[in-house]
Amino acid sequence: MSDSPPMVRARGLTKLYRVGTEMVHALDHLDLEVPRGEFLAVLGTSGSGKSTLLHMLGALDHPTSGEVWLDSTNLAGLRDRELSRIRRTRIGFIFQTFNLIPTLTSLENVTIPLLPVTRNRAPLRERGRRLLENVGLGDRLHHRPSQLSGGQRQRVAIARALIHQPALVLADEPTGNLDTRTGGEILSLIHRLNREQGTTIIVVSHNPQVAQRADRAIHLRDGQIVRQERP
Amino acid sequence: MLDLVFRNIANRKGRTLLTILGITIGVMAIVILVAMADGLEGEVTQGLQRLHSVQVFKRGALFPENSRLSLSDMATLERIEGVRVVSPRVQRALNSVENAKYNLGGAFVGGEFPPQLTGIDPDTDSQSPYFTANRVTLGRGLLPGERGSIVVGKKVATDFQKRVGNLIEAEGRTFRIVGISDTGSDLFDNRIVVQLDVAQDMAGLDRQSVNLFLVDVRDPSEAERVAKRIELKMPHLEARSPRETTAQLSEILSTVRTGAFAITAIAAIVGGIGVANTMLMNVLERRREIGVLKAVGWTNREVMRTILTESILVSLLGGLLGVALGTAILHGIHAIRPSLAYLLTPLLVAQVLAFATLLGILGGAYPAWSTTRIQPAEALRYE
Repeated sequence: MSDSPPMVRARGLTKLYRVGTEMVHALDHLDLEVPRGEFLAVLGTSGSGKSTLLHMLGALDHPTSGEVWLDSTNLAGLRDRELSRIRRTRIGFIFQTFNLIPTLTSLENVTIPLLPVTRNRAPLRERGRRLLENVGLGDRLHHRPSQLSGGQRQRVAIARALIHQPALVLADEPTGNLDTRTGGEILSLIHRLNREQGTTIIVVSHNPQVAQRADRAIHLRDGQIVRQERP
Repeated sequence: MLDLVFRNIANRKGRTLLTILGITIGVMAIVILVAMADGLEGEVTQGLQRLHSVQVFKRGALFPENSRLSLSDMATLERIEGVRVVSPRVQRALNSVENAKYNLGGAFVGGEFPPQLTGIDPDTDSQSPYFTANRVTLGRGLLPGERGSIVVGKKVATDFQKRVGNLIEAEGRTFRIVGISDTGSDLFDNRIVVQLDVAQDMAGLDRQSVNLFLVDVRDPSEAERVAKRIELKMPHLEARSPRETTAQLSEILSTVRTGAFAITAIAAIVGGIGVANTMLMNVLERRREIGVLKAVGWTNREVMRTILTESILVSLLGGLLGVALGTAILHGIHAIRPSLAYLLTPLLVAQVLAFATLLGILGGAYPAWSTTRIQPAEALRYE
């Protein structure tokens, strides 16, 4: 593991936002390394910079300064199109509010990331079906998000995040909108993914359950890492 | 990706239908007006193909009414090389037939074209097979000196339900119909043919004045050269070969067509603005959805393509509906008034559909481009 570069590396990561006339540091010269196969929990209060960090690591947003390396690719200076390609091939996202497209069925939501680049739909649909079965939704393939419970929607979102077999999965408060029991189930699903397939996982949360399942937990305050622990 | 586009369209049925309607109305207007202009052009061109003689007017006269020539010019014309027969004509639009009043201006805003009064000299007229006014398919032609008799074109006979032997009234004078001519073109068959001196009386011309001469040439391929010779020798005259007459009229009709297209295109462009408006609203509403698509790896180009496809599809649907409705209305108009010809060519259909597609591209361009400014992270924060 020591020979290959870490899955994620951030150096001097800084993000400034303008709030009124003031500039606010969402991230403040943050350094971070996440080895391949690690399950990392990012904890902190609201406004500590957790989500901003996740967006930077996931090539969703550009830092004000600093660099992010994904594997051996430096994200700085990449064009939007190249960042899109990286998101589509190497990163899976899971969001707190699921972010499913309300007009599409579960199966369509799961396959949508690869739709524009897939000529032969049948294998893609088959893979989507299997993923939905794996998350326990084999009987909900053709349901719309409005016909599903919160936990079921998050399972669809997890299946969508895995459609392209990403090396890295980023989850932003994946249990935030779920009750404790359902949240626990979702966490187990993510944990299983990490253990069985070796997928690197970064979960942002303020749910202490998450820290217990993770290999490592880092605590953020004012855009800086203030503490880290290995449960 | 097309299924996603269809889903988006179907998802906002009311709004999409209204947008489609905007394009439909514009395209329908284009189809109706341009097809009617094309119909008129087709009819005129077809009629003009029957022209074989050189027409001689007074220089600068726009209509036969404005041209006053002296019969004394006839002898000079007859001596010009290549000329076979010269026949004088009095010709103008009639003001009334069988108590029906006409005015030429009205014809251009959808009314009937007035029948033409044609005065001929049966003697000279019978010397060329190309002078068709007195060639009848029913009854007989006018004989020299017959003042109370008349030959009517088939369109006049049909419009006023007249047969050979019936009386017909024109501008207060009553004539007996001795023959009916049928050239096969409504353009030429919308006329009544009387003795030259009768027409001179009706047109207020003296016995030495006529409106134009028809000149039959010895060799039809020489028509243009003969026309040039006439103008060289008699500079106060203007001689138009059949080809020139056709070209001149075609130019006028093609201007009418362009005008019809341009005016109706404005309506369609307004429809295109409707498409732009709808698409912009859709993009605004789907801001979050677009952010999600980008977050899961869609490129700007792929998102733009979806928006553009949607807008083209909406416009094209509007275009197809416009063509269908326009065709139905043209059929309806033709059924009510068969004399109003129209010509709906595949080319016109292709043109309007291409135009609708263009409107879709233009209408969707800005909304599509605006999606490139949506940052995935920013759109995801919209909660």
